[in-house]
Formats: sequence, structure tokens, C-alpha cells
Amino acid sequence: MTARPDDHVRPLLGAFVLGHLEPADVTAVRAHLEGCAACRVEAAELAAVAGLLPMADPERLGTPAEPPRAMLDQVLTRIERERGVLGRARRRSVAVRVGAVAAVLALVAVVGQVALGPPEPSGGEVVALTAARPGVLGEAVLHEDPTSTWVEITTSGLSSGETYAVWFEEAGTGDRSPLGTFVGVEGDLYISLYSTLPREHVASIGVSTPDGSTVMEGRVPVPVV
Amino acid sequence: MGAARFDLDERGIRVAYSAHAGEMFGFAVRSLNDHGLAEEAVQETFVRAWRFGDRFDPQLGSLRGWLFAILRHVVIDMARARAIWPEPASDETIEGSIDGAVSAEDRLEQALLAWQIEEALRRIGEDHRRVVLETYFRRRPYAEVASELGIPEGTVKSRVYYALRALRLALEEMGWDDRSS
Repeated sequence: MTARPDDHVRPLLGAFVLGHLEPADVTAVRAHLEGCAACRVEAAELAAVAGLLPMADPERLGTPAEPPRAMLDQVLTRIERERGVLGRARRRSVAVRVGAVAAVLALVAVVGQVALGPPEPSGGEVVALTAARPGVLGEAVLHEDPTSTWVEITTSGLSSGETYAVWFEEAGTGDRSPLGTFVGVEGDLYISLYSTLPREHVASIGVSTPDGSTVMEGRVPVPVV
Repeated sequence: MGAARFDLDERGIRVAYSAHAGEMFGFAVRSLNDHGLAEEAVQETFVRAWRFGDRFDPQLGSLRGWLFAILRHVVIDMARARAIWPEPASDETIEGSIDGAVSAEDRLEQALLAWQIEEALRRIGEDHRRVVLETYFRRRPYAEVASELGIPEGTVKSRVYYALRALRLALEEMGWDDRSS
């Protein structure tokens, strides 16, 4: 079989990598590829794309999902709200250290000392986090929105670089509902995380290592109905 | 929390949102199969991007790649919390996932690739998309497709070639790189 010039073979490479060519054309293309490095590279590049096609669902090609128009405003509102609580959280973390002298059997009980800080315009329930590691301090403030339950955690003394998971324990089932993960840093750390779990279903707030060992946990008061 | 946030202040977030939110939302919907959850995931991603903006180093990678890395974490957390998984695209990927050894990260990687190839198919020209749909997904003979489109069979073949090239370019624009995987 005589090798075909590039101009004749290249347009066949798509059908070739998809396995759509007749045997005679397959033989001709293979013969050409043996002697043409440029076409071999191109065939390999197209084959990589062809290899992804089985993952696609042609039924989904119709209308791409468009983000809701209000989404940017919601992002900016959350940033604005977090910016507002950042300053208060820093002040509270100082209060946490002041209040943490009450250590019991290597467990550090951090009690609500929010009265030491400034008034809390946005409200929220302060939840003392009991740490299972010496030197770890933490406090959570639980908030409730119409669409979500969110928690601010201020903490210090966690290992730098270690990943931690934050969760709610669900009332009744005892299941852990993850809110997200964060990486420990030197010094004070402030995080806020959201969950769609209704406030009344939250029995406790906890922080654990990836293997599930609890680092801090605080029971959440039963809401008054 | 450092005060310096690179340029991901509120204005930076607006710019990043305008450039990437549509793509991120498409991926989140594809992964979580729920518009409400997808919206929550993208919102959370931009809030985290603002919060940790000082950790973004443009010398290490693109903003888009960084945002998608955050989004993947958020989607995995949400999928785990709700015991849902990124939806596989086809029977073949379902078979590959059914042995139980596939991690959430692997499933998400598959969902990302599936979404990227679907997005690439949306981006290429209608003529190119049509021949791929007819010959590959609907498994129709080239002669039949050629007759229906009123073009020679050789033109269908060359369109398939140009379609795959266009798909590759679209995928590369989205950050896909087969040489690094």
C-alpha cells in the first residue's frame, strides 16, 4: 500500500481515532503514520479527545445552566457580613484566652465570656467548645438564617498545616453533618461555615481531625419553642 | 487573617465572578445535579476565595484553577454531607465506579471531565457538533449523515477531523491538559 500524502490522510484522522474508517482506509492511514511523525502526533492528540467522548452525555448539551442573577449579590452580602463579624471575632478571641484559665483534667473548658466583649449586633448563640487537646482554645457562635444555619468559630492552638473538619451533630440520629474543612495556622483562626441543617436539628458543634478524632466539641442548647 | 488579600477584595471578587461564575455553576450543577445546591456551592467558593485571597499566588497557577480547586473541595463536602455523588455521565463510567473503591475525589474528577467535554461540545460550531453527535453518539453511518446534510461523505469525515481539533482547543482553553495527566 502506498503511503498517502498528509493532505489526504489528515482529514481522515478524526474518523480513524473514532474507529469509524473502513479497513482499507485504516491500513492506508496506519501506513502513512509509520512514516510521518507530525501526523502521529496529531493522531495521538485527537485520540486523547476521542477518549473523553464516552464521558459526555449528549442529552445535557441543550441549555447550559446559568447562575441565578441574584447570586453575585448574595456572595457580596455574605462577604460584607463576614467582614463585619471579623473585627468582633478578633476581639472575642482575646476574651477566649482570658476565660480559659479554668482547665479541668487537661480538658480546657471555654465558657461564654461574650459579656467581656462589645455588644453583638448580629446576635447568635455562643457555644463553649471543650477541647480534647491541651493548649487548644475555641468558641463558636451559632446563627440562624431563614435558609441556613451558620457558625463562626474562633480558635487557637491547633496544629499548623493540619486539616480539620467542622460538623454539626444532628439531634436524634447522632449523625455528623459536615460543614467543611480548614487548615490550621499559627495563632488565632477565624472561620465561618454554612449548613442547610435547620438550627433545631443541631445538637452539637464539633471539630475533628481527618481520622474522625474530636478536637473540640460543644453542646448546643435545645432551642426554646 | 492577613489584611492583604492580593486583589481579591470586593472588586476582585466581582471581576472573578464575572469571568468564571458561569463555568463554575455549570460544573457544580453537573456534579451535584441540583441547582439549589450548586448555587450554594458557588457562593461558598467565592466567599472562601475572598476569605483566603491572600493565599492565592498567580505565579503558581491561574485564578480559574484556584477557584475550581476550592469549588471541588466544597462540592465534595456537600456531596458527602448529603450522601450524594457526582452523577456519572454514561453507562461506561457507572461500571467503572461501581466497585466501591472509587473515592469522592475520583468521582468528582470524572464529573469535571464529563462537564468539560460537554461544555467543549457546546462551544464548537454547530456544523462540527452535528457530525460528532450523528456519527459518534448516534452511531449513524457516514453515508447516511452525508446524504441528510447534502454533502459528500468525504466532507463528513473531514468535518469530524476538524470537530475533534476544535474540541481539543476548547478543552485546552478550559485548562484540560492530557500531557500532565
